[in-house]
Amino acid sequence: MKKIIHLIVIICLLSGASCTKDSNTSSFSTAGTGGSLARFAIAGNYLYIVDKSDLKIFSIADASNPILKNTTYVGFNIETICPFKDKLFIGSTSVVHIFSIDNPERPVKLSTAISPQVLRRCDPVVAKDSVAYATLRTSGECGGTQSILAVYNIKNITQPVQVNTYPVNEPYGLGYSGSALYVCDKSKLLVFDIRNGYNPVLVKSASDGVYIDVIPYNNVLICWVSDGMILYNITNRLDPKLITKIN
Amino acid sequence: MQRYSQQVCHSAKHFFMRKLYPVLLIFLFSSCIRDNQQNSNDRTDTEAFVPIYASLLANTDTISLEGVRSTVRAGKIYAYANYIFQNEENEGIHIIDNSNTDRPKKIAFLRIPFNTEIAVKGNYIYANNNSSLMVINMQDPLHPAIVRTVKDVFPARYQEYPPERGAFVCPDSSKGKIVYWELRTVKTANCRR
Repeated sequence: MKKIIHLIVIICLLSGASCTKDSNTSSFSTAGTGGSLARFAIAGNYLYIVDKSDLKIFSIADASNPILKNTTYVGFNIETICPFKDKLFIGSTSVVHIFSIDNPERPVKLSTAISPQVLRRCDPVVAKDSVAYATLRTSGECGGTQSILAVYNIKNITQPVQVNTYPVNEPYGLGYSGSALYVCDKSKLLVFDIRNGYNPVLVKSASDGVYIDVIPYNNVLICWVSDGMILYNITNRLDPKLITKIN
Repeated sequence: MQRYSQQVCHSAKHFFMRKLYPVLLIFLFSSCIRDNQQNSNDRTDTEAFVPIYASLLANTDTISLEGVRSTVRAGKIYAYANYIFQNEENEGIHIIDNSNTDRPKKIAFLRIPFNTEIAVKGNYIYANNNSSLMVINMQDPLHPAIVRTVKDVFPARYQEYPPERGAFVCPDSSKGKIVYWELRTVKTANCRR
């Protein structure tokens, strides 16, 4: 069981690690209904694109002119890509490949984590220094009996250690800014105080839509909801104030 | 008086036999047909993924700036400078001006067929469009310009089956490349994964 939890953690880490959160540099989303034909992410001056089996590395030092630098075979049925610190996490339907991008043009495969087919079912993790937060959903193929917000010590990125959990309903994306962690929990947006990073404390919740993901962006919390977008003023990080809905 | 009423009665009978009866028959018959259809609908109408072929669609690689429109299939969000972008799945990107954070508003819709993802660097949007990667200069979001199209970056995926498990309409390879799968109510979904 512990093994499975670890696998799920790793998979979730890999499937989402901070990807949707760093609004200036990254690009990541799980496949929606109808399917997406593309997967790409920006890390530094490079645009990484995965297709069915290959990783393509484009230099975007000149942003207007992507230049293909390299193509590396990764494996079967590649679905997602996500940069996290100096690593690339590339998820397939069944395994997760970890690449080092110390040399950004020549990613080197460090390891492959074998997993059950849960990659696209689990939700992202955001990492803050040595703490990572993941939402583990029980619906779909993730299994488990209780959806949780899980807290990990990630001093060793390839071996996260779960240090705390918080029961939630049906969580999706999450993001943090300063002292606050925002968790999309279907019809609720949960606001946690993370001044003690390993022990989040729920301080507020909002229920203005069906929340899918969030991007804290300066003093605005941008929420992707099922029918569009909701914006909150987060000048006070722990007390989001509704600005407007856009749909 | 009586004779008259008899006549009326007779003619009414006649009317019924000659005119109404066939109508009634047709009515009964047609209601039978309806019932049958209803029954067969109950049996076969099902939600399934349907392959959408590029060959059947026009202008799949042309982008255009259009007026604001309602969000229907809300996709991923992306923030850059004073703008927020939200994907409309398979259709393009809603552009939201957030320079006044108290009053963010949609200012335009960038139509990019089959677009699902965006990333931004500098003033350039990277967006998928079929198998191509488009680089779009967004320095002035109201005058976007394609500066480059890198072809064959995204090889066709999900040509044999949709990404989601479940019932789907079997693809016909003679119709060419599938650009996406749409969940629809169909009569027959003869494939399943």
